[in-house]
Amino acid sequence: MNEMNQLERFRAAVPRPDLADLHEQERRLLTAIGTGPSGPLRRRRPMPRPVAGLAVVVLAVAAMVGLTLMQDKAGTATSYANAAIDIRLRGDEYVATIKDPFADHALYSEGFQALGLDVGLQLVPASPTRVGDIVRYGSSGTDGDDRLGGGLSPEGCAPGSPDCALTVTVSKGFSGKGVVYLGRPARPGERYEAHARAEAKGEMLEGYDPVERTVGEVLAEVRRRGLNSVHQVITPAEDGDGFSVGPGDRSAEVRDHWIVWAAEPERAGTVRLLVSEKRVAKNPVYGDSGPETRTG
Amino acid sequence: MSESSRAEDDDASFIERSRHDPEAFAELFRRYAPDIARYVTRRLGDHAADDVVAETFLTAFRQRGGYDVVRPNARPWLYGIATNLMRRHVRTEVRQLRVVERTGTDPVLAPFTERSNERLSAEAAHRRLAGALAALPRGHRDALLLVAWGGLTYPEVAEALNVRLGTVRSRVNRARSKLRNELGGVNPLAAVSEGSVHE
Repeated sequence: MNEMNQLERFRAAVPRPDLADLHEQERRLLTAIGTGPSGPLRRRRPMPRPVAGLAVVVLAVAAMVGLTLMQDKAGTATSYANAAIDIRLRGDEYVATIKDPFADHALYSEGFQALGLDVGLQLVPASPTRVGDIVRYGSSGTDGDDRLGGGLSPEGCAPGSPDCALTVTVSKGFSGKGVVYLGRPARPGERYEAHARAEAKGEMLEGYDPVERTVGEVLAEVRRRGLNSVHQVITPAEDGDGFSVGPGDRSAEVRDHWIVWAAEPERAGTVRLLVSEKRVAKNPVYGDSGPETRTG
Repeated sequence: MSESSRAEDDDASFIERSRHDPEAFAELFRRYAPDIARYVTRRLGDHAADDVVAETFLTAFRQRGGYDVVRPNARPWLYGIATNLMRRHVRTEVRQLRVVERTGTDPVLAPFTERSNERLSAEAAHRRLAGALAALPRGHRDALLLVAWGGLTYPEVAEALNVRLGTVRSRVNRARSKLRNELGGVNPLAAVSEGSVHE
């Protein structure tokens, strides 16, 4: 074995991340580009200190639905609260704290609209490490100063615990139209609509790499951890790039010798295995040098 | 793929488009970030890599106006930026390589312990290899690893490091020679045996 093979073996133990693993870096770039939400500094950020001395007057109190809208002397609306969301202007951005992550999304949007912000917010059930992440967003008519962000407050808190809140930040004077999909904790049994890889730190298979093992091997680990699994049969593309999923449920066909190409959190306690019968040269999910161990 | 569609899809066309439509630059991230992240992680560990990868693309975005769009492939440019940024972390890289050399434990693999356990069989060779890499002059190590781990050709390394092709050839050849000398005494079968003893 020559030195180049040894170098390749030395590298092979480091998996190639997929784009989902790099979302913080991507977010920083998108922020610089001006099309994305605020950068990672906005993620899991601590609650900003209240702005001292800001004179506010109560504009309206609608006791029936428990909402409050306040504005400063200049007439800029500075805060809004209803049963689902509490939005306050902190310096140059609005910080929206989600009070009820399971509320009708119209209640969130209502708060932003009351402050003159055309921002829609939808919370989607997410696997543990995606809670507090902006999992999808869209915007139009924005300018370079417009920013959207999301995270947990206080920073690093455990999602679902009483003192841990989901937050969304919107730059003051946000001029365009935006919609944010923010990961929230899932209800018991609820299927995740946003997830990391199942083997990621903090997810169900943390510490175990299921990629390119046989179904039998992975199922043994799944059972050892007291988890359940579902199978998604995929058909690797003939040219080696990507895969397709046919209609109908083929999971009953899956046998222990089949190959696991990726594992995803399906819902709490259940992982979804993307499998095919034949091993192919290139991981159809992760690509050429995916997170598999490449040997030299 | 036709010439015209290839031209529309190449990196340079996205960079050129991004000068008036910045969002087009995100395509570069999607194309290269995973490979560059793996390259940087292997060299520096995932902690430092997080920042270097982000900075690589931020730097590239800021410098896109100076990109020569006659070069359709931005891969050497991006690896060159990443390599420059990694120079701030050269001590980290060398320190980690020395840890591998001394202890056989690879700090870079801490997040991937399952894999490192699987790879104990190569331990002896890896320790020698790590020591040899740590001892290389930085420029030689950069050139070698851009070829070995970055997958760049010699001309692409020359472009990435902004040095002449002959310099790249010389650096890579000398680096390989040093590694070969260090590894020369390692019989792969003996290494497996030694690794098994450790297990």
